[in-house]
Amino acid sequence: MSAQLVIDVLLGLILVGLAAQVAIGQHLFRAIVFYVAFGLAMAVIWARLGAPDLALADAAIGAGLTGALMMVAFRRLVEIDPKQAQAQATRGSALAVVIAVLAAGMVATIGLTALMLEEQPGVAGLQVMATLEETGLGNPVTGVLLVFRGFDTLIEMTVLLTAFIGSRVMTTHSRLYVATLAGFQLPLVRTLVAVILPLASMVGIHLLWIGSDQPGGAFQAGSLLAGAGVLLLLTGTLLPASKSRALVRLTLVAGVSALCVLVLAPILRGQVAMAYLGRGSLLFAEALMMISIATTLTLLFAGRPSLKWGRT
Amino acid sequence: MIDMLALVFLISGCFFIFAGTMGMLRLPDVYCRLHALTKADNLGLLLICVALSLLGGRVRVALLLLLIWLLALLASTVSAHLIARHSRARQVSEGDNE
Amino acid sequence: MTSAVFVLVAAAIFGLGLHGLLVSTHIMRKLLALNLMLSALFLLLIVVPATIDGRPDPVPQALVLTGIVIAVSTTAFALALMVRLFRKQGHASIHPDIDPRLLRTRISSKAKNHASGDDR
Repeated sequence: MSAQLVIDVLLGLILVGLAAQVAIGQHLFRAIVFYVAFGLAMAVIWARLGAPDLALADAAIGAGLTGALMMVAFRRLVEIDPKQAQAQATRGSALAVVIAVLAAGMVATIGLTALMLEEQPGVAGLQVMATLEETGLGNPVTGVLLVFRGFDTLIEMTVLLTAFIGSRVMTTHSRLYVATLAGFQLPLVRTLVAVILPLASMVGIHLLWIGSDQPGGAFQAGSLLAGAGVLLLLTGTLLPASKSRALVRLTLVAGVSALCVLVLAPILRGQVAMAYLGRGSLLFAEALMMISIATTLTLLFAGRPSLKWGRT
Repeated sequence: MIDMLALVFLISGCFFIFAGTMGMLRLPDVYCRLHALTKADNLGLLLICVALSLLGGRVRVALLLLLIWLLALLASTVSAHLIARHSRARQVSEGDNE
Repeated sequence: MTSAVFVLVAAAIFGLGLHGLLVSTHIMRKLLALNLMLSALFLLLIVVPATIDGRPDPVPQALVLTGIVIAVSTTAFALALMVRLFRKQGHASIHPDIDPRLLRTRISSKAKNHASGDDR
């Protein structure tokens, strides 16, 4: 038991060290890189705490995609004005340190008190585990996401779509820097794309399929495909296009629409809203969600409303 | 017995990755740092994958870890190549510690 | 015991993030600090609940998964806002009391910083 404690303490120290580099580091770009490393360390901690779905999702979305979005936004700042982009005066003040220490103390007190209370399993969790066999799913997290708390997932997909629409509204009239090396036709890069693209598609669909019974699911699969999309954008295989196409817009709203169908269809059959319709319906909704998540995140990286094929 | 072998592989893998990181921090030049990172880290990752597949015990685990190592190899190769090209294009000379 | 370690780690990261948020003037640093605080709270949300029949409680895990996706959505939108703000006003700071002419790059003009006295 003590070896596990040593490993946990080491992991905790690594995490705090990386967070310190992010928060108090000097150069902005270094802070972004350290944030990506922090996200990957968090993924390790999720795996250690017995949450493999979270580990997959945090590695893909929290570390990878957030890092990529921040790097491309930083690059856009540099393109507009290189000197001012990194200008940062920190207004160090003792009051801020005191507030931060008090906040940390508050969080620690809440956590430690909650740990010291008598272990009471959450009521919702007990109900979920009790009724999980009725849904036919093996992965309780997918069950909670899609069956037991399906409205949360519907609203989450709506938030993703709203963030995309908001970004488009903000940047419609600017000529944003597009992160593509369109002139880069190196054999190595072509090999990378030729290997990664089929592999990513296969692994993404695999994660979607086994998400019902094992760690996986629509979000992990969608963010994996978004990562592949970012790679395609960076190597010039996909190019951002200014003219918005109907197919792209359809894939953007597919996830929200599928979940709306899931919510409303039982009403047509006489049941209560979002009643369980069977594993097939869940898989259908998850597939459309995966496509939607992948397209939204790739377009957020691209900075344009649509994509088109470049010269491969 | 298998555990001891896996432990030996794990420790040597960690040593190589540590060496690669030390190289990245201490070597004078971006080109030298790329050497240290790609060569030492890939070898360290290979040793760690071998150790984990010994501990995993099943052929499926070993094949998946081999695939992971090959993907990491491909990614680090292409990244190092692109970084070196970019540095060359920006005419970063040898010995320029930046 | 391991849970107590992770609770302390989450508290430390939260404090660091809050400090970064209060102290920095650049919007992107504030975003990074906000994301740190979010990650710390997610960690707390997973570490504290009890297990159910030996398996971890699935409801907090689903909530944190939702939270991660919402964090990335919010960050993406905030980054778009930042780029637009930067283009409009020439610097990426939202503090009205800082004269933008005093903002200097830290790396290349450390000497100038010392001279103008805004380096703390």
